[in-house]
Parts: sequence; C-alpha cells; structure tokens
Amino acid sequence: MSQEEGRGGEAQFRLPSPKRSEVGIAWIYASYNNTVIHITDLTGSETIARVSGGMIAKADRDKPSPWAAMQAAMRAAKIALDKGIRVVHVKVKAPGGYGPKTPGPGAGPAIRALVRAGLIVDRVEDVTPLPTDTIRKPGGRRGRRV
Amino acid sequence: MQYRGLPVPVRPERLGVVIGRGGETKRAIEKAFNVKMLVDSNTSTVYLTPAEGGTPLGVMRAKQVVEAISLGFNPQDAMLLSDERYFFEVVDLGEVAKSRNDLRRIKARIIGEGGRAKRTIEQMSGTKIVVGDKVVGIIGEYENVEAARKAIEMLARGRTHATVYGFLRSVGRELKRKRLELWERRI
Repeated sequence: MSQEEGRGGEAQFRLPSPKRSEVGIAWIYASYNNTVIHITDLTGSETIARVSGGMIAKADRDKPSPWAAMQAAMRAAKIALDKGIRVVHVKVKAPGGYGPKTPGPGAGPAIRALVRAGLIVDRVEDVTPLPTDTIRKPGGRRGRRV
Repeated sequence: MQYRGLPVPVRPERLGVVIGRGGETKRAIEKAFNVKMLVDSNTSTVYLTPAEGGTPLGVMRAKQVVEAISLGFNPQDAMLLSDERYFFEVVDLGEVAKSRNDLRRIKARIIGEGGRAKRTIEQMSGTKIVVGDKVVGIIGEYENVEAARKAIEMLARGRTHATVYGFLRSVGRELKRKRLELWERRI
C-alpha cells in the first residue's frame, strides 16, 4: 500500500482495502489486428484469465473491433470474478516500438466492459513500450518487398 | 516532483484553443469527462486528473479530446468524442512519405484543390478529418473511421482519387447492407 501512495494522486477513491488476493492486473494489448485481455495477479506472473478478440470474432478483420474487445473483456472479467478477483489495475498497451504508439480501437470498450462486468477498476495506465531513441523498422534497407 | 496528473503535450499554437475563450473549452472538457485540467503554458502541457467522482477512463477519453484539438480539430468536432460511439484515430504520414516534398505532395493529394478531396472523403465516410503536420486525424464512428483511414492510406500510396472514391462507395454500400440485415434479424 505504501508504494501506491508513493506514486500519489492517481487513485481517485480509497478502496475498502481489498485483500491482496482480490487485486489483479488487467493487461489490455490493443493493436490494429487484435485485442488481448490478460488478467493476472499483482505480481503479473500468474495468469488468471486470458481472452482475445480472435476468440470471439468469426472473421479475421473483426478481431480488433470494439465489439469483439467488449465481448472478450466481459468473458475475461467473468472468469476473473469467479476466481475471486474484485479489483483490477488496468495497463493499456499499444504495439509501440516501431509500430503505432496509440492503443487500437479495442482499448476503450474493453476497459468499459471490465467495469460493466463488475470489476472495480482502480487505475488505468499506459504501458506502451516507447523507444528512448530511434528504432530500426523491419524490412531492411531495400524496404519490404512484396 | 509532485504528481500533477496525466501529461498531454499540446502544440503551443493550439494551447489557446484547448482553453477556449475565457476557459470555455476547458470547462466543457472538464464537465463532459469529470476531470480536472491543469494547464502549464510554459511547457505547453495539459495535466489531467480525475475530478471528484471521475474515473481514469474519463481521463483517457479527455486525453484524446485534447490530442485531437492539438492536432487541429475545432473544439466542437473534438467534443464529439464525449459520445462513446465516436473514435479518434491518427494516421502517420511520416511512414509513407520518403522526403519532405513527398510529404507535401501526399498531404496535397489528401486535401485536394480547395479541400475538395478531403470534403468528399468526409462526406462519403461520415467522418471529420484534419490534416496536421505529419499526421491525419479522423473522428467518427468505428466502421466509418476504418473506411476513412483505409481511403487515406490508399491516397498516400498513390492510388487515384477515382479509385479511392469507388472504394468508399463500396464500403458505404456494405455498411448499409449490414445495417439492414441487423434490422431484419431483430424483427
């Protein structure tokens, strides 16, 4: 708890101090090709639920859609709730690196669906891997040859 | 240093628009998303924190609005984002343009003579489009934004305007068909 207060200002309400085992992290990876909702415990090493847009949508092009993200988040939240998670910290992530640095279309709806499903969202954070300097795109000097 | 909230850098020349006349726009954003905005004019950065009863989610949406205004959207269009059906997307032209002149040319193709091409894309896809320095911003409903993004990428890669309009027309038909199907299934 002391570590959380150290960062300060982010939590907008004091939770009725949940047990450690009731708090988890919801990693939302939103790219232009898919959305993955991965709920883990606080250490991040134990998976509790993992659902992706591809498990919901029938066509590949619907994988990143807000609708698929919502359904996926609902499903992940249900599994997590069954396993006793009540509060989640959300970490939103875009592909980053040489790719797009803003989360894809699934991010927003996924967070909302987590809230709607009954999980308490404590804080939302962007954890996109941002290059500190320039980064070489794949494809080499002569570019991507199709 | 004390934590001041989620920092959103704004282009200095757009900072005034983010605030609005007498703080009009700033107040509107704060109210719509239940957030508090702290404007630092020295670094041209806006810090966002959830207000009393606000959520981190509101902060994320408000961030998009500020980014959209910074890009060149007028506040009215940017505030469309307070409706959850609307999405904001940025297309990076720096990735396709090979040189400065190339970028200029591509932007010219997207805008068209007197803004004709841009207006046509906006009308056909039902979105709002702004061409910024190196990026193009699109605001609209999900499917429409998707269509507009593809259209702009086509133009940037050198497809003719006629082809792109044809593409938009076919997408429009497709969406209409889908809507009708949905409608029939409900009955």
